[in-house]
Amino acid sequence: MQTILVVDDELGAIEVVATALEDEGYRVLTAANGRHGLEKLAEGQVDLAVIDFMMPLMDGAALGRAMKEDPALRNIPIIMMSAVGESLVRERFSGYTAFLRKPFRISALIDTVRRVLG
Amino acid sequence: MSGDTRLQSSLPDNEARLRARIAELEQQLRARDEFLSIAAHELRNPMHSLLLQVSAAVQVARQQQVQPLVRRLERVQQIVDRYVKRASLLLDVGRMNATQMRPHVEPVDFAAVVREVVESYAPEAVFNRSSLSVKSPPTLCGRWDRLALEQIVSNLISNAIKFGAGAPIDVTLTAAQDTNVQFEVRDRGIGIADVDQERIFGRFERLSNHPAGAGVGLWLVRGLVESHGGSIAVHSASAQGATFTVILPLDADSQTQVHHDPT
Repeated sequence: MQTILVVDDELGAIEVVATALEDEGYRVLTAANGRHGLEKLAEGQVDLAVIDFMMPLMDGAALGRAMKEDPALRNIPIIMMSAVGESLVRERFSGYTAFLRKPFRISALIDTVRRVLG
Repeated sequence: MSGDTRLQSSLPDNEARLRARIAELEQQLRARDEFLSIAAHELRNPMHSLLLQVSAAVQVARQQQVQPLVRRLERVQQIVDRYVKRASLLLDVGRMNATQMRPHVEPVDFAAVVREVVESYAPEAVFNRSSLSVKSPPTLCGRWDRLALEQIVSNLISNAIKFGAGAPIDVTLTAAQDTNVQFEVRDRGIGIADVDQERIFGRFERLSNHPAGAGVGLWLVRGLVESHGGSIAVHSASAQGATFTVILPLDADSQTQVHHDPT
């Protein structure tokens, strides 16, 4: 079973995203900000990280950079999601595999996850 | 003509140009605030029918006893509620700039407001590995603007959860002397550096090390508190958490009248 880490400070969003991915047969871990996300990544095998861009304490760009600097995490693909436009996100961090502009439909997320995980 | 004399003769011109530029910028600021106010309205209005539809769907799901659907739809209701509050916050920002905002004062139980807001944020606190503990009398009645009070309490608690680094948060409500009430939110998180404390209540200001959100929350809170004739202060040191203390008069009506009295 493949494991997906979802990092987002919006509890209402993360609940739905996690349930939808679990319904698709993935194991899902969740975290409320980049710091918690890094802790979850250190705990074990994660196949994909779905990360919100704007978060308190440690945002998506900082988490993405920290992942790319860590040899154990640098090959984990990242789907970055944000309510702000992709050009603004790209200025701060461009090492993601796919981008989802919020709000998005669950079907768009599932399609993107399937595509990224092959 | 010496350099000093030239400088002196050009001063009135410079001042006039500066005044014209300030007036122009103020006009632009007003136009932007008006737009913000309209935009917030436009964002909020469609949510009304959405909320009605969802609440109707909740009723149908209850009648049909489809429990998983009831739970999901109730979550949708909460999320839309919070969205409307965010849109309202933007609307309030526009209103606060465009006109002198006057609170709609009515009898309110502050303790009940605190309990309701804390309860609504409990899932967020758990998700952020934090906890909320409340010290409050069973009731604390006074006269304030209910929505403003909810906004003040919500903003301070939401910030404490976001920046509290997962440590316990203390929420305290007490009657201060006979005429005031004190509301305090203490977190044990990343804290606020001295340099940020000076400007954290300004508009569009965010923590220099941890920017998140639009940076209007605390500015709005201060505006709402001051519109009630109250005051807000923060005590913090970097990495040692932050304590926000709000003092409001028990009867905002009497205080705001005094506050606005030109004599």
